[in-house]
Amino acid sequence: MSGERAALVIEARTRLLAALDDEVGDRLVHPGGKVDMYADGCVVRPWDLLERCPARVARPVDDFEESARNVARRLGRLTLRRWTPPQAIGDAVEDLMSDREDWPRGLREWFDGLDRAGVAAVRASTTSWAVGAARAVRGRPTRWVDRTMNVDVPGRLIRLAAGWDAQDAGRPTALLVMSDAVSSNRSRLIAGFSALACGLLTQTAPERVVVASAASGRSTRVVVDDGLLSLTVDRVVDVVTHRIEPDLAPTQPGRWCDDCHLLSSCEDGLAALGEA
Amino acid sequence: MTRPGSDGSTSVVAEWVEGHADDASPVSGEELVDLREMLERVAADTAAGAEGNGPTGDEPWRVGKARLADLTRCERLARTDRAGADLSPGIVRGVALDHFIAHRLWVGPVTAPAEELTSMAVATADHDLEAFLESFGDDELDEMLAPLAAAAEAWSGLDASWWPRVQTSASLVLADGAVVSAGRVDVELGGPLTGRPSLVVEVKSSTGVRADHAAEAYLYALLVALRDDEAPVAVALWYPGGAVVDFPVAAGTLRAAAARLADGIVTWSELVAGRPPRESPGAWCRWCPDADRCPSVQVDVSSNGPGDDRRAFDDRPGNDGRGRVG
Repeated sequence: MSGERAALVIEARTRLLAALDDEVGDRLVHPGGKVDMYADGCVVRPWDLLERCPARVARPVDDFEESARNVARRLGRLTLRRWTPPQAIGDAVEDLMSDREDWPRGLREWFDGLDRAGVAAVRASTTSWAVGAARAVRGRPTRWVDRTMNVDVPGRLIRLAAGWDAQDAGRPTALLVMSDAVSSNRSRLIAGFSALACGLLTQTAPERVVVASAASGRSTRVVVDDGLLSLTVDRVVDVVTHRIEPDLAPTQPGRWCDDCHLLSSCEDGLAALGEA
Repeated sequence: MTRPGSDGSTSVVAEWVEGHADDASPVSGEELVDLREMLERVAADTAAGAEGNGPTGDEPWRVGKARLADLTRCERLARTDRAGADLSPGIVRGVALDHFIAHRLWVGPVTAPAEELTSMAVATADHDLEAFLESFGDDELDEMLAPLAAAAEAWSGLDASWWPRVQTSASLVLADGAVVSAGRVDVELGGPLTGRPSLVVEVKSSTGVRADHAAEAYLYALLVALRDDEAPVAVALWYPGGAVVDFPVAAGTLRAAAARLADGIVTWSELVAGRPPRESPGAWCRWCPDADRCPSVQVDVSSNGPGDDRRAFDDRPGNDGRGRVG
């Protein structure tokens, strides 16, 4: 069994590297040594695979900043690592915020700059996230991760910033991703991305990925097989290809144009909204 | 979270919550399964019957609180695009109240409303709110915010064992994502894992119960029930300075909410398919984007639009508090 799981990863890795050789060539080749992947490389995130417009994939919005909403997931996972039922999760959040030793440094520095009202906002968002996640796994023993899992593609300046949130405590080869993706197709891509990254990291493919939604209370269990990994590899290569040749990325106008950061310079988007 | 009110008394919300401490979930699991199956059937049939551009997981039909309310009022209003409304004082009052309740629940009384709201805007990276607050004079802000900060004291004294949560999501996803009814719940208490019955509170920044508030409350009850496989025992509306208005949940109320949602899905599918919307004029014509060209409009739309209405934001049916719909 473990040999089969390892073989799946070898196959996916081979497919990924070969496709990158074909599509990317000598660009994004890792020069060796320490590099700033965010400045000089290509970082692929789960939602890139779900993006419907290639032009948006090619030029992702760059407005990230820490906020109560953004940190809720990271702090929520840290909370759940400490939480022991039947403790109130709100109390576990309070404990976490009093003892910040194991927080990532940047997150700790941001939090330390908040005043009392800012702390209230973070406690509120973290509690809501953590309760939603705990409810989604229905109390099942779960090993929550303590950081975003970054996995670099061998030999390339390409990073997969994977988004799995936990592993099943009784079955570590089962991953859990919290996501409100609504359709089975989108859940498959989210699952596949975590499975690929986890496989590259551990040299063995997880058996399954559960995509759980706190909002709907429903979970989708995705079996990790060759089909899923191949689909994911192809999507990852698409994303990288659009990023290195952004001018060649086609547009796909739709409802999403309304709040797109590229709208003012996108003729297709403006036309779709009747504003051209 | 166990702090008493500033005068040491039990707050109006805590009293309401504790009054439900021994209630059992009023709707059976089988009943919830039936409701979900009915809605799933309606959504799947309707989506499958859509010609041309039917809904998909990428572009679902969204039939949430706002759209359902609008469909009840006027189909033409429901078809207008009201997304992305600018912040107005009325909207800010609602946002401020949400923040002040969170403040009260997690760190205690709001003592410097403008300053603390600004801090919460910064912490939540709500730059629109930050800019709005900066554009106001101190006196004007104090006049607007001080009563809301004082009203948030009604949330003191809640026992931590109720696991209070704010701004939670409850979504019903049907037909593999082709139809979605999503809601954002202002405050949730109890429910699965807590050992307490489930309670839902909707915060209203205006005063007075309207007829359609019950429909709104029970839609949230339905969404939370189907999310948790456990029905809330009650949904309440809370108004600043007022009592908690209790809407008890029962199988019949959830059935009615589900039937209303099913009707909404069918009606929306017809409108998307091109059926001309029925025009049903009323007070909502005041904020309808089509008011200047709708032959059925009945009121003087030149005055008192939503952008300058400082008190009656919640009288705009279907707004989720930030000008977004559906």
